[in-house]
Amino acid sequence: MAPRYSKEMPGAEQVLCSGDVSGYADESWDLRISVGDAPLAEAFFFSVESLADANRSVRELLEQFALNPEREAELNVDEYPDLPFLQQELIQYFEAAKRGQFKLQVFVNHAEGKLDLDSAAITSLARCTFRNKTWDYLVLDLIFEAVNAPVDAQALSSFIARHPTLGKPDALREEAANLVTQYEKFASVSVAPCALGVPDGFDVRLQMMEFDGLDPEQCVLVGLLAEGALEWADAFESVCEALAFKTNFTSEILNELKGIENT
Amino acid sequence: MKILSLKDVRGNGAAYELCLPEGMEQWNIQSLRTYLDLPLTEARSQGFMAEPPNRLRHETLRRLVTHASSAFHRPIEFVQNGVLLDNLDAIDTSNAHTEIWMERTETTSAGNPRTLPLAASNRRAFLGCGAELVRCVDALFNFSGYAIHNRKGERIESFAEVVDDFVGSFDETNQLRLLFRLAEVVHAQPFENSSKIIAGVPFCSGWEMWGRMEQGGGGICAEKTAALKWVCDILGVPTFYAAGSQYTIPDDFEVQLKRYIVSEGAAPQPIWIQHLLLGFRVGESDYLVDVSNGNLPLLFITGDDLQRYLKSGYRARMVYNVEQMNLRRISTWAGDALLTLCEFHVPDLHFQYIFNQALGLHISSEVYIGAFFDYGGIHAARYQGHYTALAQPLRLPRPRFIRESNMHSLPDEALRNTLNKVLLALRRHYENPHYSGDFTFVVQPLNRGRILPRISRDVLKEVG
Repeated sequence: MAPRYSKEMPGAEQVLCSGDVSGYADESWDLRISVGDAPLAEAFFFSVESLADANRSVRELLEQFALNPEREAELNVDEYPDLPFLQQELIQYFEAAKRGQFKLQVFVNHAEGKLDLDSAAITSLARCTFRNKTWDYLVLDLIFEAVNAPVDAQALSSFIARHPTLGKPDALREEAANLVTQYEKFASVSVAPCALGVPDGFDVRLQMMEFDGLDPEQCVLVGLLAEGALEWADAFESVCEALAFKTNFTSEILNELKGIENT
Repeated sequence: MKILSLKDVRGNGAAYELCLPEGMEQWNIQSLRTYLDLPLTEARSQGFMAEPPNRLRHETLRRLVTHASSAFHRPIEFVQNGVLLDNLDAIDTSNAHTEIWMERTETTSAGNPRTLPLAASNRRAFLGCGAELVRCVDALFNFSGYAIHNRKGERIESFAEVVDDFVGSFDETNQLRLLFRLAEVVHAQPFENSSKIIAGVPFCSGWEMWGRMEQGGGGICAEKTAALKWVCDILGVPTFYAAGSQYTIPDDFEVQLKRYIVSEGAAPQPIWIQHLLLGFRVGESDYLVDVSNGNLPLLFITGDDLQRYLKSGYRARMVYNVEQMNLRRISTWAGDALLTLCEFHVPDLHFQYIFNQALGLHISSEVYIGAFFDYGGIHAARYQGHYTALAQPLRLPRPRFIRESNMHSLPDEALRNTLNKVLLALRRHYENPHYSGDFTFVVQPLNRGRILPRISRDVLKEVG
């Protein structure tokens, strides 16, 4: 399972410690919080003086340290004057979630799955090392995410209405397998110059399906349904997300990629 | 109706227009100067029949011609078809469209750049078209929804009621409430360059910005700062500026700036200032305000917050990265000078903002719309790859590339119309007859959430 978030701090490398924090015994460490996809470079952080405090639960650390307004004076405002503003925002965010105004999910950067706030912080610490060797410290890199609002019922009904005649499971699996066979070569391409199968390239599969006259929404849906039964609402959400990340290159580029495919 | 176009060939190349009656065959230069010396209503009452298509823009022309030194210019001279016209000469306006050039008197000194009164220019503009400016501010402010009371306890219903004796008639709380609301209003307008490129205006003055904002347009940081500065000057509120840059702003920045201006651009350019904020004083307290918008939250700080921001700068979210923005408090003269240079001295400044500085056409917390020179083939592919690669690691939805051939695919009619107009304006503006390419727009959705305003607690206590 891929981590939900893999944010990078510019100029630094970050590796999860899996509880091994040897070498940092006498050092302070940071509790960093960013919201959703906001970049780490503008995140809130709070320095915790003692590594022993890392044995506390994440919830305790949030409530008693980082998001405790009485500890505002401990923020590094000399270098980051925006920290008190960020702290206020996060406190409001955290309190609103506690009041049930929305559901808050907390993730650890680069880690799989949701974080249990009652787990000990030490198990989720990461080493953050700046490549120029100026900094090397431990960080609990949390990401707050508000669970999306319920799916728009009208949009969902029209989504269902657009796909009235999807095949049976076997037929779906076959259709999905055909799509994979036909379009896998476009999963990682370069466009300048055009090349297929490059490492870390662009995934143009959905756009190429669309270019070939297929309905990309249906193609994503077929892939999802072929993997197993799925609620319509979940399927709709996944389809919307996939379509948001569909590339949008111009037809010249797609034609050139097709040309390579055909040679 | 005929058009007389006055092109500032020695400044930034901007053109100013006047509509003339059909039967007008010529216009004496001395008469033109008298006309420009008068506020428009007075000019009309004296029988002048010329009409500017945009009254607020006309005030900028008046500043340039009648107070040239305030714009760091030597006195203006008029040239038609290569012939220098003196005050007794006349412009031939027999054609439907007449263009004259605004040149500079080479025999006169450029003047002392220390004596630059932007506040005076702002007040003159208000005298020239106060009613229109009041209408614009009122339309944006919403006085019925936001209560401001004078010392007598009377509720204010129009900006016109606050311009006389603002400091004397309002207590400090209401002064601050009004300025805070104005800052909110300016910040709420879009961070954009499209309206400028469509109108062919390289940079808007503070008063022009109010007209533009009332029409739904916006501007970049310095223009929005100029809009707030205009209000403060009209209200008699003392102001200062803070300049922002990724680089450290040197101690002798103002000396460098003065040298540059005295040399009329021959001395080396001072360090590039990327950002301009306005500060002002109410009672005994200073406030610093950033009304840029784009990816930047409204900043309205005072006390320790202000000192810390000036000392350490702050982290500013750009489209694809976060930059450390160093701040330096600079004198009113220096801030005025930066705005004046932008307004009158940099040719194609709007073009530079869009392309060279990559500010594009529009930045908000939801979307960035940029543009690039697209001459096809590998070049077009490189740009498309570049923007797509920038979006990928940030988990941004992939950008769309909009050109004339697929403009119809944009579902939003207003956006489609705006981009069509911008495309035509870019083609018109980039007049290189040998350019065989076109322009392509990049529409990059941004999903990283809006940053909440940064407002000092002491301000919140006062403004509620």
